[in-house]
Parts: sequence; C-alpha cells; structure tokens
Amino acid sequence: MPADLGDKGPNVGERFPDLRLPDQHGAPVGLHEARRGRRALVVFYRSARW
Amino acid sequence: MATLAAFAAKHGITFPLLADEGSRVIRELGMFDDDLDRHHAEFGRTVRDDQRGVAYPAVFLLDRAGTVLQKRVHRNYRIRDTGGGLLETVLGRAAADRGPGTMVAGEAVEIRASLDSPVYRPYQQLQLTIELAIRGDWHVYAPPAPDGYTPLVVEVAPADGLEVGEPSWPAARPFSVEGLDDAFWVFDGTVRGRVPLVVAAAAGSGDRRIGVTVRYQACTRAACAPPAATRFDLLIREAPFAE
Repeated sequence: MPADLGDKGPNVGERFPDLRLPDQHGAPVGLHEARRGRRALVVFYRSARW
Repeated sequence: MATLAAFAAKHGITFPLLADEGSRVIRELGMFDDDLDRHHAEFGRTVRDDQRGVAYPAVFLLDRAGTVLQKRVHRNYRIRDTGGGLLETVLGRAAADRGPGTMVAGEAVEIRASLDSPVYRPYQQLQLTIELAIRGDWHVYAPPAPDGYTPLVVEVAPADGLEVGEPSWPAARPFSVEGLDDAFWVFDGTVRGRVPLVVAAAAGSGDRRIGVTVRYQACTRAACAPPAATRFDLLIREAPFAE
C-alpha cells in the first residue's frame, strides 16, 4: 500500500493559507472568502487536460 | 480557463475549479511535485512536457475557521480515493452509489461488509468498510486479545495485484475481568472499521471478487461463544482508466 506524503503542504491544525486564483468562468476566487464560514474540501488535481 | 470551463461542463461540476497557471500558488503551498519523473517511473510511465508543473494529488478538509482538519497527499495521480470514499471517510456521509455490500447476522453480532464504489479503476484507493452491530451485553475483543481468545481481525484474501492497507478501528473500551489484574480492550455496540485497498494492476485486468473474512469472538461477562469466522465475497467491476 503506497504511503501518503504527509509532510507536503499545510499541516493538520494549521490554518490553510489564503489563496486567490481565477475559476472556470475567469472570476477571481479567494479561498476563505468563498467558503463564507463553511467547511471546505480543497482538492489538488493534476490538470483538466490529461 | 476555457479548458476548465469545458471540463466543468463535461462532468457537471458546479463548484469552483481554480487555475494555477505557472504553478505559483502550489509552489507557495509546498505542493509542487518536484519529483514527477520518479513518481511516473514507478508506474512505468515517462513524463510528457505538458504534464510538468502539477501539484501532488491531495485533499484537505478545512473546518469553519479554515484550519486543516484532515489531509491526504499522494505521490501519483493513479492513487486516489473514490468519490464515494471521500464522502464517507472525510465528511462521514454515506455515498449514494455505494459498492457491493452484504450482511451476515449471528447470535451475538451482525456484520456488514461493503466497498465504497461499485467499480474500480487501476490504482484507485478503495475503502472496505466492516460494520459490526454487537447485540445487548455481548462484546468482542479488540487486538491484542487475552490468551486463548480470538481478537477482531479482518483478512482480505490475497489476489494478484491487490494491495491491502492497515485496517483502522475506533478506540476500543477497556474491560476488566474480576480476579485478573490485566484490563482487556473490547468493542460493543456498533463498530465501524475501514481497510484501504488498491488494485495495482494494468488496465484490462478485469472484474474482481474481493474475499473478506472477519474473525472475532463474542463474549458476555458470563460466557463466551466459540471463535467465529464470517466470509464475504464482494464483486467489483473494472471501469476504464481515463488517460
């Protein structure tokens, strides 16, 4: 069973750094602003091309 | 952006898909995969130029304050949870389209075994869920069991290319027996354990029958039933791997 890479990225218990990137409609999205106080899943996926 | 819009439309995605052109944000977050060649080579693949610049495949669950509650980071895109598995293990919600499941009821314990998806793709991480409903004043021993007793164990029958991870169980309850100094650990009520499974085989290896045996021994304070073994066969179909 392949092990997780637990040391990459923000750690459990830390605040996830804010980020601002364009969405699929070209509108800028700020992570914490867009959550509006709700829980969120942040998923890193390779690409929409392959 | 046009690529993301087309991708969202094709898959019916309504949540925000963010484009990190130039990989700036994933570098700042420490999520940039700077070892992509090695991670591809493990799967017998070479990296095309247009594949560079990606993040490690990962999922972070944030609470209402934006704090990381859970994280899963993998070393290759071929290893990832199923959608149903994420809903269950991260959000604690049952997936609408669960995989095959069966139930066996015994005198003391009712056992359900299920997979989190009806189909698998090569290298996708599946979750096998084992749920025990332990009746009344019965308990089962958690490992390590006292000498002479059988602890709760889940065995997955070995099969070509099937990788079986470490089972996870909730915390057991301490249980003391009059006249003995040692406390033992037991489960009672409803107990749900999970075992991660990966079919690490080339595409086209076909549908799989996952053989699962749950061994346990149920006791009350007064008496013990003999050790029991309950066998499940879960059929899972292969879905094509989207390249």
